[in-house]
Amino acid sequence: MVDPGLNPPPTQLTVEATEAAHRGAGGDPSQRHEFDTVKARTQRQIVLRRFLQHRLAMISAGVLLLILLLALVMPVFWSYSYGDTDAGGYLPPSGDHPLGTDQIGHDMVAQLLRGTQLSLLIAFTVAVGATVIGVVLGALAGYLRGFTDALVMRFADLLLIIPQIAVAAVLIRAASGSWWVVAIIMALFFWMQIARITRGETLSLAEREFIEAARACGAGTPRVIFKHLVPNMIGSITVNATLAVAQAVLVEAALSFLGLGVQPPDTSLGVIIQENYTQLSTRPWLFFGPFVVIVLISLTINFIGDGLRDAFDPRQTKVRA
Amino acid sequence: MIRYAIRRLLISVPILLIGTFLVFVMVALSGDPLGTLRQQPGVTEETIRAASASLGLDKPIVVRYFDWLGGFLQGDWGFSVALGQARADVFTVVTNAFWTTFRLVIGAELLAIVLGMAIGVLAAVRQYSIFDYVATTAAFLMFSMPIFCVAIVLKTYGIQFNNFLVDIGMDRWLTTAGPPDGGFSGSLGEIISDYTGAFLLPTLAIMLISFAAYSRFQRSSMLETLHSDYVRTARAKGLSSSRVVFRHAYRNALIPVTTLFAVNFGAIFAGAIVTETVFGWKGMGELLVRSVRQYDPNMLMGWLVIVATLVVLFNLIADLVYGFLDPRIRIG
Repeated sequence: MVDPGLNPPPTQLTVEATEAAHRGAGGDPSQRHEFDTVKARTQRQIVLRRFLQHRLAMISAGVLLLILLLALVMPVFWSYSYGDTDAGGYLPPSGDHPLGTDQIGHDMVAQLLRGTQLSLLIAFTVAVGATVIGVVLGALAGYLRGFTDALVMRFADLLLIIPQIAVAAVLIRAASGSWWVVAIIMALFFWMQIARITRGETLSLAEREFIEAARACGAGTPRVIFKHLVPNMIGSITVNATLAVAQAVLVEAALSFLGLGVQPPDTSLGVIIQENYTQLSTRPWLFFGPFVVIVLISLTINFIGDGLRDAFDPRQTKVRA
Repeated sequence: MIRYAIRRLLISVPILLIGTFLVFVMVALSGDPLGTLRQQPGVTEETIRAASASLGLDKPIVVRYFDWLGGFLQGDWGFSVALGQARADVFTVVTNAFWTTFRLVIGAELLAIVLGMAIGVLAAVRQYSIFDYVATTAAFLMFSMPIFCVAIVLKTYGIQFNNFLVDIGMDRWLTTAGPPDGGFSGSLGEIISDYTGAFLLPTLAIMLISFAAYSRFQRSSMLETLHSDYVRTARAKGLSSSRVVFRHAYRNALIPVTTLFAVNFGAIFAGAIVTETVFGWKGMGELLVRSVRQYDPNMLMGWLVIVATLVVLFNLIADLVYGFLDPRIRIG
């Protein structure tokens, strides 16, 4: 990653170059400058360009955006709400209920919309929460070293030795499962990986001259971390935050499936599967609806993460892990 | 090496002590074991106080922790306080559940790691071939899938397969409700058939998910070795392609993957929790869900300590194996 201070000033060269490009082949040849072919781009432009050229990631982003829009907008127009139970139980798919109804007469489409909303909401909250905790603790540990480092990393080790699903289950049961309780508790057990990565990168970045320079100018720890360290680690932070969303979708579904996550009457994709999976052989649409949505969400996010990793990787080796 | 192992084991002790203390506090604060008793009609304040004193709930939490720890170290893991368990001994219940899960997980993981290594290496050697793309797609699909969905699909179609067997006049083969309680018996052929019938589907579910991660990991590790200088040197010396790939690159590319298994042990166990629930195995998964639902603190503590100890042990094994396989890493 390039230190922002070392970036070539993008202004004039880019303007000239784009003007030349606009004029195209028909432009006045005498106006052409020797360096027109070299376009200077900021790092953000380079990354965005590489990401936009990653076909799979772009398709995935489109699909995910579509799911997100449907989950947010469609409930307004849909004639049933997720709590309605006035339809008959186990109605087969029809024009009125495209995915049928469940045992107590919930419209399946309305349930799916609400479930997708909550699952995504929880997953994004978990990813944001875990990233903030992980980046702050990891950067502090790597920058301050010594006692802080030992304390934070041993604490992370401690949390890693206990399966998060077990601890989360115990805590969520105690705090009754509304969606934000589930999300906060999950975030508390999701930050360790991000903290480890941030710490590793901080250890090497902290040795560089621009950090020394910032400190010589009198920058305090928070300023060094947020103004100088974090912008230089933004690549791995973004990639790991994206992958955390995909993991969180799956963990939330598993918790809810075990009956230890979101509690009915509210619903999430895991809850819908838990309520309907016994019907798989007789009414497959009740199971495959939520199943396909979960797989689509987590698959597209994994692909986007993959595209971001390629886009941020300055070596562009295209080796996917 | 031995000195390193001993030192690591000694460091694990305080980690486990602090870990168990935190978990103990968490479990103690997250529920009330007398909750059901309190709700019963006609229970006086005195009965509750007596029950509370007999369970030691009136003492401060630190004292309670050391009481529990003292008993635990002497092999007295307490008894279940949940209703309907008739004061079952925690040690017996947890160790039984543990072996049930362990024999399922070990087989599935070994299969997954062998398969994952083979496919990962092939995909790396033939990078960007059709095989690579198919393997990549399959792997991405698999680890984007919740494990319980895979298990549910396998279970449902397993039942239909059984019905099909019955239709054509044969016995049911696949069991979807856990292994038989009394162990396997009968002739050798029957035992093999019963055994595969009980293990096939849950093993497959765990294997499919783990194998995806292993194959991706193996592929990127193999690609890294294939692009390293010493492999280029080997090619430049004129060695045959297969000799370069298998003698020089493959052996070193195996190192990170063999340790992934040990490091991921906790995650693997968590995956087994869900699979077991679907297939009705009375293992660690079923035990955890039941203990959480009924709020059974002693049982939960026994569960968490067993799993945490295992994860610490497997992490130690991973580090030792790493040092053993890769001479560039010196430990001690």
